[in-house]
Amino acid sequence: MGAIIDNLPFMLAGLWETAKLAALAIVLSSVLGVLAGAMRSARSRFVRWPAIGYIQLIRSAPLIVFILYCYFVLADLGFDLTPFWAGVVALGVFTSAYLAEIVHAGIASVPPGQWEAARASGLSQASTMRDVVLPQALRRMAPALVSEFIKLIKDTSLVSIIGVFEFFHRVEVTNSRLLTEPFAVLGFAAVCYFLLNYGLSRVARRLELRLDA
Amino acid sequence: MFNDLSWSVVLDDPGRSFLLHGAWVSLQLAVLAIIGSTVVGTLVALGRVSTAPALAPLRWLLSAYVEFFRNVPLLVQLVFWSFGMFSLDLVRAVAAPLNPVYSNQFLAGLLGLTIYTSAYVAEALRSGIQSVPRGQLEAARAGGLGYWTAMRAVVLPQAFALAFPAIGNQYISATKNTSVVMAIGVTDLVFQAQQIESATFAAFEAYTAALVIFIVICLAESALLALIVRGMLTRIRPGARTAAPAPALES
Repeated sequence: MGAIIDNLPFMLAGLWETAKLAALAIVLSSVLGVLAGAMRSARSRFVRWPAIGYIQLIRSAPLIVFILYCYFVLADLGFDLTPFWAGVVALGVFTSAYLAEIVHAGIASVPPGQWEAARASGLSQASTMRDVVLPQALRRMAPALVSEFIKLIKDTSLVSIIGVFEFFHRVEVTNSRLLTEPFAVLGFAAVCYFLLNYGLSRVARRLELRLDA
Repeated sequence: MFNDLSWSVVLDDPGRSFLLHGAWVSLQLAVLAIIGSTVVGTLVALGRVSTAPALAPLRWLLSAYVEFFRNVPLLVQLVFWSFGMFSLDLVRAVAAPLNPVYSNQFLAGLLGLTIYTSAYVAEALRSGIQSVPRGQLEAARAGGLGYWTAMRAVVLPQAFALAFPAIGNQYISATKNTSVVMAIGVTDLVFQAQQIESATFAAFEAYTAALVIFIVICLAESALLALIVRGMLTRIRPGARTAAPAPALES
C-alpha cells in the first residue's frame, strides 16, 4: 500500500496523459467513423467501395501492428510524429473503422420512409443524411458507440510500446523500479481501468434508459 | 522511401524463418486460447444462467468475473500474469514440467488471453442460452431429464448454434489479440517482425509481412467458422441451412 501512495503522483500524471490520448482519439475516430459509415451507406459504388476497403483493411489488422505502422512507417514516409501523436492517429484511425460499421448499421436501421420523405420534400441527399437520417441513427447507435469507446480507452495502454508515457507505462516503470510489489502496483492499475470503464458503461446505461423513456 | 524497398529482408532467410517461427507461436497461442476460453466461458455462462437460490453468491461472483476481465485492458492483464503470478515460486514450480515445450512468458500469455477471451465468450453464450425458448428446458425437464442433462443435451447445442456467430467474432478477436503478447516478451509474429525491423530498419517490409500473415490467418479462420456455423444450424434446425450469418472480421 505504501508503495502505491509513494508513487501516486507519478502514476496519476499518466492518467492525465491517457485521458488526453483517449479524448483526442475519440474525436478523430468519431469524425472519420461517421464519414466512413455514411460513405459505406451511400448508393453510388464509387463512394461505397473505398469506404468498404478502408473498413475491411483496418479491421483485419491487429492494433499493435497498426500502432507500429503509424509510428515507424509514417516516419519513413516523412510524417515524423511524436509517439503521442502517432498513438492518437493509430487509435483514432483504428477505432474509426469499427465505428463506421456501427454507423452503417445505425443508418440501415432508420426506416426508408424517413429518407424518402425528406428527399420528396426537397432536401438534398447530403442534407437528408445530415439533418434527418444521422440524428436518428446516432440515437440508436449510442450503446454500441459507448462500448467501442470503452475499448478505445483500454487500447490506450498499448501505445506504451512506442514509448508514450501514459498511465500504464508509468505503472510499469513504477513496477520495475520497485520490483517487490507487482501485485499491489498492477492491481492498482487494473482497479483504475476497471473503475473508469465500468463507470462509463453504467453512465451510458443510465443515458440509454433516459433516451428510451 | 518506396523506391528502394528490400523485400528480401522478409522473403529470404533469416527473416523468413524468423517470421514463420513467429507465426507458428501465434497460431499455437490462438488455438490453445480459443479452446481454453470456450471451456471456461461455457462454465461461466452455465453458472450465470443457473436459477437455484443457493447459487446466488456464485452468480454474483461470475458476473464480477465477466465485468472485471472485460473492463481491464488485455495488456494490463498479461503483465499481471507474467510479472505478477509467474514471479511466484509456486506458479513457476507448477509450470516447470511444461517449460521444455513452452516458456513461462508463453504460458502467462496463454493464461491471460484465455481468461480475457473467456469473459467475452461467456457473455455471448449466455445470451445464446437465454434466446433458446424456455419451453425447451421445461419440456426436457418434464420428459424426465435432470437439469444438467437437459442443459447439456437440449439447451446447450441450440445455444451454441445461436451464439456461434458472436462467439466466432470473439475467436477472431482472440487471434488478433495474440499480438499483444509481444509486450511481455513472447516471440510471436509481431515480436519477430520487430526484430527484423530493428536489425534492418526495413519497417514497412517487416510490418507489412506480419500484417499479411495475420490477414491470411484471420480470413482462413473466418471461412472455417462460417462452415462450422452452417453445420451447427443444420444439425439443430434441418430446414435452416441458408439462415447462417457468416461471422465478420470483428475486433
